[in-house]
Amino acid sequence: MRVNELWLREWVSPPLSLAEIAAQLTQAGLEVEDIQGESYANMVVGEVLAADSHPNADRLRLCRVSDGSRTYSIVCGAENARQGLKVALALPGSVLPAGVKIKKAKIRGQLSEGMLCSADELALADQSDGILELSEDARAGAPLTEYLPQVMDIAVMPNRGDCLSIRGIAREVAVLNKLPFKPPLFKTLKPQHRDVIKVELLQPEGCPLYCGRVIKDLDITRPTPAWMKQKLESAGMRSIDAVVDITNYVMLELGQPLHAFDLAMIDGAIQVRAAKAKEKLRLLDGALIELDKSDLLIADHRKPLALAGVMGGVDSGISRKTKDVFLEGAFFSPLAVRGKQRKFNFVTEAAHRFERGVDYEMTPMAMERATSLLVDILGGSPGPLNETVKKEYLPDREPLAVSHRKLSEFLGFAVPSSEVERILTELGIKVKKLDKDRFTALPPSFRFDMDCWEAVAEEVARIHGYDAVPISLPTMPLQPRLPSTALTSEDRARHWLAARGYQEVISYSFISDKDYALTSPSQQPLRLANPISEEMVAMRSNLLAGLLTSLSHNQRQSIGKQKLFEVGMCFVADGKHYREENHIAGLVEEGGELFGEVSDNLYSIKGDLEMLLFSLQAEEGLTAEPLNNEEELAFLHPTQSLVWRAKSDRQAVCYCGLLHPQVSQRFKLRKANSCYFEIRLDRLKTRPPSVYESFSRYPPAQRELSLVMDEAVSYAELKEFVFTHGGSQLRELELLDIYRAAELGERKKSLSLRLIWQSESGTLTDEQINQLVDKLLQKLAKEMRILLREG
Amino acid sequence: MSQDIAKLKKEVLAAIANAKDESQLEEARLRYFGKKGIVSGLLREIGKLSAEQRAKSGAELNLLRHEAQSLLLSRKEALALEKWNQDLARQSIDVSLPARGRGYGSWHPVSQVRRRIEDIFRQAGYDTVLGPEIESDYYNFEALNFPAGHPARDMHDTFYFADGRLLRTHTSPGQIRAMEVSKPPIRVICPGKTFRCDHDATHSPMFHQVEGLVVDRGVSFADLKGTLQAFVNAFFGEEVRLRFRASYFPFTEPSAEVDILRGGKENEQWLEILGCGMVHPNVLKEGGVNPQEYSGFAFGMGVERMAMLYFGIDDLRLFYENDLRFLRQFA
Repeated sequence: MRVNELWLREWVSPPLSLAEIAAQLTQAGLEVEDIQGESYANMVVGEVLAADSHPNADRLRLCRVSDGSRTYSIVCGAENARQGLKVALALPGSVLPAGVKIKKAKIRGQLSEGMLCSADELALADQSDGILELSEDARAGAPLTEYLPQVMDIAVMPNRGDCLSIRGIAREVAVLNKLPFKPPLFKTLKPQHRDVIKVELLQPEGCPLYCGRVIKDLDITRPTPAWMKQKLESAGMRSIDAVVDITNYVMLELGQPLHAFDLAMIDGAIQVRAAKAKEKLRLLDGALIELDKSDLLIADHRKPLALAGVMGGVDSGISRKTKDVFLEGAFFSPLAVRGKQRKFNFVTEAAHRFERGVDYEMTPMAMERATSLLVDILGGSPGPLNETVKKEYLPDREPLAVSHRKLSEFLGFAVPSSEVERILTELGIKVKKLDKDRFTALPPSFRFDMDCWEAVAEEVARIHGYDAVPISLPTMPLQPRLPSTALTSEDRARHWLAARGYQEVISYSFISDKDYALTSPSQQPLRLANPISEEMVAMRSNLLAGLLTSLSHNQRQSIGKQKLFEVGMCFVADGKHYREENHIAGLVEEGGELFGEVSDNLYSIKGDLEMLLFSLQAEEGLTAEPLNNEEELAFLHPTQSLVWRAKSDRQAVCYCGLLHPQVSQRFKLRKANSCYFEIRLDRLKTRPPSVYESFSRYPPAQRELSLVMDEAVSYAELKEFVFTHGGSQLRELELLDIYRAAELGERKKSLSLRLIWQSESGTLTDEQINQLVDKLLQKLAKEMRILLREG
Repeated sequence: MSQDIAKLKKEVLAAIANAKDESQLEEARLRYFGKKGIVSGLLREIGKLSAEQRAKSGAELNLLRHEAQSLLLSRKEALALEKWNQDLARQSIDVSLPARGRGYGSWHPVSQVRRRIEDIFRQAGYDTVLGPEIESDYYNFEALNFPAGHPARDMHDTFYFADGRLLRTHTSPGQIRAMEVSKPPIRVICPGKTFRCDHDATHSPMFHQVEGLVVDRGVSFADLKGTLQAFVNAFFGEEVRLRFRASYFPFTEPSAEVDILRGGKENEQWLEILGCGMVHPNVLKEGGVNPQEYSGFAFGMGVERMAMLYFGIDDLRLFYENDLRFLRQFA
């Protein structure tokens, strides 16, 4: 809502600057986001006494300008600078809206003691030719703000539809300054003929009140007066024709949207009714809309005329041929108008007000105001005001029961009851005392937001000032308990990963379909119905795409050796539905060799993942397996990757590996062998708290064995076999070395192992160990064809 | 004889002290203390002396032997250390080469600030609850006193799915969820991701909020002011001036916006940091709490906003670009 200072001051004028009024309104919940023309405050009206050519420059003029008491010499480049012109004069010390400070200066050898401003320099237009011409009757020396009003831009919240008018804002300003709120008295014209249009309210819950008036013989060719045009423009409205301008003017002034029909286009009576399915209406803006039964129409007996409370139809609108007008002022209930702007994809000032609630007790006054303006400006003769009302459908206003004691407790301080009464009464709320403590508060017809006694408390606090509320702290029982675990495992993972050199990133939860297909090949995405762009449409099912995007972005900035991680919600298909699942994932750029040591490969990321599983207290049964053509993991290298499955249900809980080169290529990574890991945190079962077990204090015995076997034998297989056949006292198996050489034979390798035995009940003898080793070697040779390396 | 022993002592100690390496030291030891050594010889001859002389010279020789042995030992250790040091000197490497391992990672600034907010409230006994990111219309709007079609919904540019569910536009659904699972007294915060269909220099389609809720008997608007003042002081680590302005949220009554005063004397300005209010009775009812008996307050803040103020970041877009030149500044 844009509020013109001069217009506001016609209603209420506290002895404050506009900036001070704006600060009051902002505190009270009507946030002034901007004051247009704030800098006009230090400018004045100037009169050009003479505009001579500049002696040293063809295109410049040397003007003599009066501010009523003194004459200044000003150099100006505008062609329209001429004698007698009233101009916006910025004297040294004043600051233009763009922040330029005016100073005395010599321009081409001539002293210039100020500046004559153009519309764009005053931030009134993006572009302008020449200097701004003020009206001829402007008084030289008067503050510029008397002719170029400052305008407040107020963010009116949806609960305060009553403040979408000068009247509403003026009431707030009056209450905040303890001034009486006295609306101007508008004259009521006597009817000059008896013509009325009958009105049928067929949908009274949508329209319980409809005022109509026939005004005949208007001279539609007369223009809108300049003062009205200026006020409309300051409110951001374009002047259209005098009839429309007057209805808009009254709406801005009083908050009641009005509509004028061309009387000649109405057949028979007016009906306010539900639209029929597929009924069509061409609106004033030219759009043809198709309606359904949920839409409320103004119609005559033959055709729809207007979408009630939203926009008129083009056929029944005012045109150059219009002679007689049918003026409408109605109350359309918020529910009847809500959603229409979104449904038909446009916004109108009328709908904006009706869906927030319009003062149904003021409708006749707005009709009188508009009628007298129409007759004053365009002539014409008004008929009687025809008010059709179904009272039982008008909004209810229930008195709210308030306890003064409870209100003080709720706010946390005692507001004197006289102050409570003053505030509420001045806001138009009727207060009725019941006893010393209790009273009722009846909200006025213009307030649609007061539905509980707490709303009364808000009004008191808001006007009294939130600053006046003291501060205290709530007191609650000190109940010992563990902190909630909601974020603890996530944050623990963050600590560990950061300590291992990983940098956390946060990516958007929605990705492109293309990236989705590449990173989630086995499922269909959950897609947004109204995405911002095709790049942000599919809800991710894992964290790969975001990490790849970040890695690739940083590679383009020539940042190497990246280790990135992310923690975040993923959206995983589960039958027909999607489950939210918290994941942790890391992506490590292939780092090459560092001092001759391979720095990053599957085994280092495997180490990071195992560290995480340990720190997250993963259950014992989780086992790592090579991939087995799982489609859902097709983004990983098929033979240099691992997946951990839960023992109980074989679900994939986490996985790691090199990326599939296709993925690296599509994300334009520099090299093909980056490593990735991901933990589906919500599927990770944790082990129970540790219980102490006694341990053996007898000395351990160890043997080192070098075993030769086929390449195909995995370490995991070997390990399992050794533990199965190495005796129950085998405690540890350590891999010391892997050796490959021609002497071992084709596709053979040798693994050097250290085996450590320890008994619970005594010291193991050499002989006992030798027996265990012999037995194991026999088994290895016989069942696995694994032999002790010779030499 | 005493004079001879004193002279000998000087000689022995000098020989030990001057030994240049272990073999010279051993040589000295053998010369004086070996079986055929000079001191050993003297000790054997001591029996030939008078009783008085024997006692005196015996004591002197023993003292000599004692001192010499102790010096031998320390000289031996000194020589060994010297040898080590010579070896180590030859093992010189370039210690300025870069460290192995890839430096330090850090949390995303949004995570750091979220955690800081959480720590402050946890210290005051608030629980942390999390809600789903995909919400129903009920939890995101209806239960929070935004009826269908209400213009307040226009303040939230909402992402929808085909089935009518949506990406939560705020963490306020956490209020309803918290009240559903616990009885007053309730004090919780609900941090998380939130989404709005808006993307420009000052709006991100995804951002983070932390919601707070306190419900008990007799909770007042003054309690809300006090709690937020204490929080802001703790967050910034200094006394910060707050300004409460009347505002509107469908789920609180009264509602307020909170501004903080930042900047020096020259350029001080009020910056909006959070929204708050007393929980609307309709919302308490939806959460199964009787508004006749209980009252409560709620607040919600943008984590990015707090992070920008805390770290002096001036561009919202930096948070999701994941440029390491940005992220690595907050280690």
